Amino acid sequence: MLRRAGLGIGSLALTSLMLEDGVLRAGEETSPIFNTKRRGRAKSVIFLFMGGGPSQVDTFDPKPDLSKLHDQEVPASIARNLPLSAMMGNAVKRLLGCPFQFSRYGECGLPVSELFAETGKLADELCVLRSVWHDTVIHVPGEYMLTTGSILGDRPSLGAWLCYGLGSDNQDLPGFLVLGGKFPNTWSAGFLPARFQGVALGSGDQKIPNLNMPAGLSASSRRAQLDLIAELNHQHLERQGGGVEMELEARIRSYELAFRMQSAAPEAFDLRRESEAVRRLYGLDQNDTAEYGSYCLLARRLVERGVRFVQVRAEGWDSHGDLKGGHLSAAKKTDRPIAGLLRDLKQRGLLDETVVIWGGEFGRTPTMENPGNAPGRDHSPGGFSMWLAGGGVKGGQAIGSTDPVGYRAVERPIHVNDLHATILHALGIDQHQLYFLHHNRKEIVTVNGGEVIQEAFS
Amino acid sequence: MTMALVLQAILWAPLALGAEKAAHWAFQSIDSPAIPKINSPWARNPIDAFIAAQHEKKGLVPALEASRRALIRRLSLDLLGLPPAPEEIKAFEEDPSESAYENLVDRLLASSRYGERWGRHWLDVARWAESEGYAENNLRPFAWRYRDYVIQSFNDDKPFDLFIRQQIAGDEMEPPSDENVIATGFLAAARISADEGDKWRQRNDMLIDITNATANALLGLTMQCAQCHDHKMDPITQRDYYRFQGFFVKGLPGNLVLNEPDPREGTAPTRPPEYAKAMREYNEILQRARERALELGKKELPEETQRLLEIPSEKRAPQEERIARATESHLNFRVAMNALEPKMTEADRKRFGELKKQVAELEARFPPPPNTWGFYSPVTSAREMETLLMRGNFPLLHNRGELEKARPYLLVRGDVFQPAMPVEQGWPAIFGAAEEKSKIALQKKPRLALADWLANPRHPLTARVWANRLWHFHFGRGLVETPGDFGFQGAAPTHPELLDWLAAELINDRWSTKYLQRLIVCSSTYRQASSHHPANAQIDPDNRFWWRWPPRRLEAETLRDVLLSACGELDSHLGGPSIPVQETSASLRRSIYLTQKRDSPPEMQALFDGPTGMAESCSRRHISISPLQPLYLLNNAFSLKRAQALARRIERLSESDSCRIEAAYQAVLGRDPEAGEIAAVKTFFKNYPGQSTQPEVPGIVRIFVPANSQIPPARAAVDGLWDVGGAGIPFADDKGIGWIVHPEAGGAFSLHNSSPGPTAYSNHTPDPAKAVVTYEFDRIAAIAEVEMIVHKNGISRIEGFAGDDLEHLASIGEAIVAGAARGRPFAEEKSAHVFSFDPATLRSGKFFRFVVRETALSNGYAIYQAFPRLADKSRVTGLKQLSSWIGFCQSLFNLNEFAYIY
Repeated sequence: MLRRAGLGIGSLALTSLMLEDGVLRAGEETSPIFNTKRRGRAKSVIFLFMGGGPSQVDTFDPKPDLSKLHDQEVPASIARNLPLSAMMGNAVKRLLGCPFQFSRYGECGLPVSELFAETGKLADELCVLRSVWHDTVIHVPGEYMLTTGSILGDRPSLGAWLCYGLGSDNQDLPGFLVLGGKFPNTWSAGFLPARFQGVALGSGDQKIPNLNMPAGLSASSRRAQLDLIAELNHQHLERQGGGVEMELEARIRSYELAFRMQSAAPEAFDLRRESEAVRRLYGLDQNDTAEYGSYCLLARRLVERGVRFVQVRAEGWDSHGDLKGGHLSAAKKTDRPIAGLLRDLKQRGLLDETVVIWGGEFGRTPTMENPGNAPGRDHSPGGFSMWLAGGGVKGGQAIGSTDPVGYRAVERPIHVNDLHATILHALGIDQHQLYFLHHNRKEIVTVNGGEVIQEAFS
Repeated sequence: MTMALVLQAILWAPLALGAEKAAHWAFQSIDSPAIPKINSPWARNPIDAFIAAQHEKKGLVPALEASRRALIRRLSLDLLGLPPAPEEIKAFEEDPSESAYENLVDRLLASSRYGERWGRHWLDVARWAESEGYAENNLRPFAWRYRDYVIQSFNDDKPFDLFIRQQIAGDEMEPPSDENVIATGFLAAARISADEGDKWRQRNDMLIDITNATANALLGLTMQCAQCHDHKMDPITQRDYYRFQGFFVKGLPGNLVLNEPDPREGTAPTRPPEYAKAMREYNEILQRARERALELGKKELPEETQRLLEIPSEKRAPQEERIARATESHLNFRVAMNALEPKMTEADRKRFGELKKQVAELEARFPPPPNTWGFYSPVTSAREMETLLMRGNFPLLHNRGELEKARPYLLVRGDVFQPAMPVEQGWPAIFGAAEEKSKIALQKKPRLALADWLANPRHPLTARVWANRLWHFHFGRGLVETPGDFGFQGAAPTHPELLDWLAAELINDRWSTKYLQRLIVCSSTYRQASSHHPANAQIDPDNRFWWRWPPRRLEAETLRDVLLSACGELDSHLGGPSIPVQETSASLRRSIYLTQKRDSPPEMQALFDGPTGMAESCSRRHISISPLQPLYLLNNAFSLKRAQALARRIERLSESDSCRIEAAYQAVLGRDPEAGEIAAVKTFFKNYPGQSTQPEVPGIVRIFVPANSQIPPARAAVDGLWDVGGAGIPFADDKGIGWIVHPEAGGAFSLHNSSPGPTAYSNHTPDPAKAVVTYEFDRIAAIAEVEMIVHKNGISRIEGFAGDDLEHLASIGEAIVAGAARGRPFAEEKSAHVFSFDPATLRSGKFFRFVVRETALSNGYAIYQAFPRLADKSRVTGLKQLSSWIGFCQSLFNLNEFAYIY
């Protein structure tokens, strides 16, 4: 039956299916999805998603010319090459200078704006990608693009792919968890089996659905129930004999896994177990940073326990008006927690095996929108900044560049599919080997293939 | 000569596409093969002859016939998706008639539950859902009529060829009928990005969805590969793809007004003529505004582009068409629904305001006319239809002029902005060209021509694909293991002659699905036991040659339905509008009636591999096993309630333990327990802890909300001014509308004002004058504090009080409303506020009362929940220790045997 269920899936994937079922034991290092030449260092991924779209020219892509050209029209040499993107109609054609100061940080001297003064101190860990691009100007399709590689929202999310390909290092927790999630298709399993879908953690005390036992049931009652279920299932298995037994056994085992998850998960989610110093590091002691800080701290606790992929969403970057106020407020909520996360991962030796991704669904136009006292910027996917840290990525560098005002990627354009190929590479996966046979097509993470950004690695 | 006859003349000889590809088995005509002569008493009907011939060849021994008990359970689960009642099992086991089995099959096939079970299979194939998908994902509240049409079609044993015709071309069929129009819900189930301003992409994505689903569902071909390039494996070219898409370009999905009122909706007053008049003018003004906005936008374009847009689409060169499409998409952003009013002339804007008001008033008084979510072409359909506007900023409009001009283009790499050349609609060339005469039919009624081609008895795929799907749904695996792929990459049939014989039988018996199913389930092949056979397993480990019954797990919906049925709580009401999303978790109706919202399926459906995205035709479901499944079955309130219901039943039935155990076994597994099982159950009762060690907690919580004379108490539960969460049992009380809350429901209540407003999004903020809520506890001394969880929307101040002195309300908190800060704010939506008090000071009091002192009007719901807590902060649940009988019943619902079809 399992074999049948697995039909249509690549053989390696079947291996991982069985692995997660506990049907096969670990020791699958030779699985063909791994690059034979170089086994990536990373084991886990934390995606710090900045919903709304942070402006590249105000964060990680300084443009001195932009401020000089403030309130002037986009130079014709640049305007000529802009893609005909419908929504850009909203932006006034005049440029808006950056209201923030940039400083150089770390030994590398990477320029970072004051918005990320804390994160900037870790510049030597950051590999800024200044030329990421795609072509949708709309928020939700943009989020789908960044998380699934396509704007339609019907493909598997990166986290689902990795759980499918690598299984989980922790049998007691789901392999793909989502914090602050808003759009379900950004953690969807797409055409992969539903089990690889991310689990969006609730905000209450019940973070995993149905984790809490019903009121009125004690642990010893539950134990008695599980013993009865196991005993009756075994008697049934003996009567049945052969055939579907693998599937039946896997189902029997899932009850023990559930029981273990019930005790392991609350421990993993309990931030009170962290010292005051650590809680401060993430900004849990301040109102502005407490929420995102708790997400970041939770993310660290989860990757520490072998969770494969944690998606952590922040929002508030969509500054169509009042760019200055809006970006200050969004950065204030996230800067310290992100810096705390990087420091904490590093001091625990986890940064080497965790890829941290930072970025939004797109960047913002160098031109102004809603001119007046508090102008803002419109959506701009033609060339924006993201950064990677950890997982063998070489920090302290910036890759690619945009035109002199930061409108469009000009040097080393990095499509989102290239970004995904690079993340797979960090985990030691060859993008063409991790596939799922769907409607006769070998579907891969990068849709039609991406290019690994080799220079991102040391 | 009718069109169908014209199409009969189509040549089936494959074109010159290479001998190997043309010779592919699935593209050959279906010839009824000879039934193998076998010398075995085992074979009951020709199906068995084909199966036995392979058994003999491979040296396999068929399993013995399953027990009657196993057979009736298998048949019921397979045909109805529900278990047999213990009495039915007994009657069948004792039926002396020689045709007892066949009689049972006939009875089950005649049950209206059958359509609910098999209709669900078809809905998978049709990728049917009740929302639009993509980011907006608006609901399609009238899409359920298609679901009922499918159920009814299966119950009526509608000939499969007619079933296809209605679904592909219902609006084009003569004479026009509501049923035919509803059937087009198959095409209309496509996902639509309702907020996509890029109109070319919006339309193209929808057409791709329809093309892929149709080819996949009915031809069993993965045509989608040819969207961007010629199919690498199958003889489908990119040109074929866009020719096939061409069948659909003249129509669009929409809310289509039906002719006949639906008896299920009562005799609602129909909208008066002035409504239609107002709507007409309303739409005219909108249309004028759209044109004006587009004209203004065009004037800003370079002159050469303006000239290009003047050229009719069919006269443009591909290069010109490319520029036109990009420009039109760019311009379309100007006609977003929410941005049109400012673009009207002064006079229009004034008139539009009046009309909007008038229309809203009339809509509030008169419900919409019966309508369905279907597919309709104003160009090719049999009658002109009224459509209701769909939601979204960029709704699809059935603009006759535009659709008349629409034509299929071959798109480079599938990019709608790279049209390469126009193509004519038609089916893939491998199936032969249409004759001149049918080409005319293709122009006039393209989808009817497609449907007639598909339903042609000489079509090599339609009958094979359907017969194989039936086999797949009965046995869990098709004779072709890839029911959605009959191409080169698909699996080869294990029994090609049997498949052809079944397909030929289907056609010859007037496409009767039930006839074919009856043959299948009456065969000896189907009746085999599931027992294992080591020698057979050596030869054929995967049971590909059917030497035993292959057990398989119940689908998500069936598992849920069987749970409800086993505990006696299933609400067997048939058809009608779907259960709203927010009510699905508590609903007792069959799963097929729960709203199918894309990406937000009911919880069990998502956990047990049911459809989630409903984005494309689904031929086979995965079976996955994950710890999140037992967590649901053990911890979720839904499954706990089923266990409680069954425990109540068996406890009422008898005082004797062994009778109760037997009754539970009968209800859940349809059999008596065996000796070893009884021993295990006894051990369970020994280990299960005794009654509560928890502190005494209040057994009953009452809450009182003020009377509202306008609402009769009996209706309060459904559409009253207040909704009270939890399993409330309403009772009339002299204090007003009161609710006694069942002790097992826990201590949390949510309240919101749900008086139906003129539109779905009117104000729902509670009226402070009516927002006094009193909780009354049995033993107040046990309660140390009340935790309030407030959804702040619309509430500005809440005050609370505990004890017996009604005058001393204390402020619990205030909310920020509409940007104006007021006092101490509720920090966050859903923030919790603990309202604590000292039990010592609560002498005789046993109230907790809270008052919403002020509210601000806003759209949406305002909800508060109050959780009484004990001194140790644990929430009062009102629950006693769950009895060992509940624990026992719940355990049975988790058994493998319960979850599988044996």
